[in-house]
Amino acid sequence: MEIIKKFSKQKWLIKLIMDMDKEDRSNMLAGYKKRKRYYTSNLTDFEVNLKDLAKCALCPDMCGFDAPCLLVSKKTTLSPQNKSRLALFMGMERIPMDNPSAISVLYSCMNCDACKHWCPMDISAGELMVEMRCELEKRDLVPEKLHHLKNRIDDNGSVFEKAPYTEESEFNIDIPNAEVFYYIGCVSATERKSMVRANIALLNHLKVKFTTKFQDRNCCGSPLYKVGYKSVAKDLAQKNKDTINNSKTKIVLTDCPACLNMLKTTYSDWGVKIKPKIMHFKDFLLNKIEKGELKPDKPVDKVITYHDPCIFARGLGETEISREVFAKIPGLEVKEAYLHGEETRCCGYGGGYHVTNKELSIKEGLIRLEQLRKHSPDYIVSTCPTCELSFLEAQKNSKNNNYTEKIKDLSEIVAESLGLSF
Amino acid sequence: MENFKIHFKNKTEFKDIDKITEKLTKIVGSEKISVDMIDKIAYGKDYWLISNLMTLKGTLPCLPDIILWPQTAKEVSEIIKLANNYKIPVIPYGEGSGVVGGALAVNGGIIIDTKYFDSIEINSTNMTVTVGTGLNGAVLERNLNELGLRMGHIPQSIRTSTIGGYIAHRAAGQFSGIYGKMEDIVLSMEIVLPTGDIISSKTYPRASVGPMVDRLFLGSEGTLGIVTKATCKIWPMPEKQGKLSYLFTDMQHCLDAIRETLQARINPGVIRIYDKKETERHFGETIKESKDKIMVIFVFEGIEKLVDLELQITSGNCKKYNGIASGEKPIDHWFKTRFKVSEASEFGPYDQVMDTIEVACMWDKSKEIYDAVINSLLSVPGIYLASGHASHFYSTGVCWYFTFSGIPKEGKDHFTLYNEAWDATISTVLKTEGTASHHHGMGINRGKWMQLEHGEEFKLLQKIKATVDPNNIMNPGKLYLEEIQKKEL
Repeated sequence: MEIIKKFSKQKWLIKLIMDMDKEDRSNMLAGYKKRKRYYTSNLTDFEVNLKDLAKCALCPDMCGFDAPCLLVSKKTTLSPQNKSRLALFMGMERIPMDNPSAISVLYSCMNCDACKHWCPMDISAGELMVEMRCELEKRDLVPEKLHHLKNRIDDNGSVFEKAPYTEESEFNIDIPNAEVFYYIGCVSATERKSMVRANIALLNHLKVKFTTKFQDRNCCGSPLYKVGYKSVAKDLAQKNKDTINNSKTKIVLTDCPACLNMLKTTYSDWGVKIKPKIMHFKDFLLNKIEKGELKPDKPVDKVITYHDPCIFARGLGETEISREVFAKIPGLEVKEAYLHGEETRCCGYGGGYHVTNKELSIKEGLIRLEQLRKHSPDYIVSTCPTCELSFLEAQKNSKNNNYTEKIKDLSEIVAESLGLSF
Repeated sequence: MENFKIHFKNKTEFKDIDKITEKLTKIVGSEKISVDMIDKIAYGKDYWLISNLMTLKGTLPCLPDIILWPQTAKEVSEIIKLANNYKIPVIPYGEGSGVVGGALAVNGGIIIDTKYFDSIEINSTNMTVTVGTGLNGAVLERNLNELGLRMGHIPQSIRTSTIGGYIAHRAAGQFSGIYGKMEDIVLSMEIVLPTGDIISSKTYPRASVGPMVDRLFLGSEGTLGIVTKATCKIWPMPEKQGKLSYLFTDMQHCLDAIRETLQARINPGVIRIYDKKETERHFGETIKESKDKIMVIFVFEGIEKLVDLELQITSGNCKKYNGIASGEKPIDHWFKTRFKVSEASEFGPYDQVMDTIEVACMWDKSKEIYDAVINSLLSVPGIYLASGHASHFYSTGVCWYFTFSGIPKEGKDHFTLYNEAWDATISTVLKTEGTASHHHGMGINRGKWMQLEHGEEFKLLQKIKATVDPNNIMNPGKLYLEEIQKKEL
């Protein structure tokens, strides 16, 4: 029997079923067999994982204490469980798909996966919200304020108004016979130029032949996919695959965890395989340090606090590489934030939240910034240009003008320890 | 949104709702008020099992009329004064994790979300923390832990519940053996009364200054006012955590071993007894020798020397009553799984009725109540699982926690089966001199037992309610229901 097979590891349950009277057993099996009616929608072409949505909707919100949208908005409506419950009601057609308030709820998620970290069922309410947003896109219901995001990426390959990828850009580099493709993230190229300069200085120091292929590169698609434009993101995936796989590239190096996650994981889930190795700079740098090709021996006598980007810490389950790099730098003292590693807190910019809910996004950035400032570090360091941008924005938007700490990327620290100018 | 069936439909429509909304907007500001249907749907439920079953059926337990997010006690006071003028219900709402329907706006009205009350002030000399009652329990504990401190109130719902909820229900945490129940933890409170007056009790270690007025609000479930601030005891993080587990064959033996331990003034933070069925369910896969046994786990916390001594004395008592030592693995397993709440999510869609009921009794009734409740639950047609564990202990008695599961027989619905199981349990408990709830509160589904629970003092309680809340605006439909009088055992 299907149910016996499913619960084969839970002997107590099997025993319980076997000991029931005939009517109870028959009722229980009927209930089990009919469960799928709760996971079915009559909406045309509705592809959301309703089983997970129902499970999340029936939970008492065991992740609520760490769900940033709930914490900053103080609205129960925006708890992961409530968002799933509303989405479930949309799937049931109790709430129409075009209800503006419900749509706004679906976009009230930073996709930081704090919910998944605490979930007893390993469900990401964030992923469910992305699936719901994709349903909105199918029905032409993506909020208007997100349309420009798509238009900008169509126009200039970035989320910013001004194109960062121009021939005149200082980052437009194409060394002949390059085997490394430095895939510069759009936030990095626009708002974190010092980090890009440090990365270029490091590559030059290592005498790596690299290209940034500005004319051929496309957006990774992450910002679009997260807000619901899955088909557009898939087209970009295909274009990136063609560009990369048809080149001599052996390693794709990126400075952005969102780009890394798309190129490596999401594309793969979509059946789009990028042949060359895909690496984030932190992994690349640790590898070079361990091989002795990079020798960061100039003391950096600073206290730093590291902010784990959620994509690394929770999405990819990796928290140690950056700390291993820091351990190789003389003079550097790492003081951890209370919430670090897998328990890192969102910077406020994930999942298009900064576009859909600017004020709360900045509020979240400020909360995280204050947590990172607890030990009065000289530098707050991260490995994600978007997190770094969030903290820079938080500093600008705060009433507190006593900020003395600098926001840095790990690459800048390594470059500093090598005495590189960038 | 006519697609929704609403279970507790508001009988009275508030005629002046637009005017009320306009006036409330002036009090809290336009961004701290909502009449949006999506917010009403979110705030129209709690974690009562029936609320959950309704979610699957696409039904709403109830629909409040207005949701407010005030930021000061003064704002709460003004809201309540206005609500009195229009005789509109006011329901305080923390995080909606209550399991007995206590936060449901069964008569519509205004929901006051308390989450802006989230301040934390620590006094490390007195070892107290003064907190806003809308603060999430886990957020408070994290803040304290960062400083090497703890309040130690760790209910299973800690990640989804507030300090106000704990006070409103006289809640208990997993480590109640050391840190106590909420009535032991709270020293003083700021309360907005149903008339809008704001009162604050004094913080003192102990006193002799007449009746303790603020104690009345502990366990009042939002019916006597809104607690906006509370000063609570805190402690340093323990030097050592000691773990102990024993397996017993006989329930009376393990109860005696624990009773003697507690009456010798040994205070384990955690003690949990799992009956044979629950031992099989929780430890069957990890602790093979637990087959057909009763598992008892202990966690001790404090100064190393004291913890070692407590471990030694407790072990001696367990051995005296034929307990077999089972090492630290069962405790590690409990620590790993103690917040994994997924039964409703996993089994809810199978159309099961599954719930837990916690009650308390004195030691001399402890075994009798356990046996009687299990038998009465199993006598309900459709109930195929009844089991129990005990999770809070005192020198004087014990809290039993029963779990039941069933599917309605032909011709009955889920709600009927659910009520039959509850009735069977509570009537048995009251007949056996137990108390109807240990820490979840009375809410909707236990409200009808209030008079039987309290006996003569219930009349006084009704008079107090009528005096404190003359217009019955605070969380109406709970605790003082007229139907209570009509219910017979």
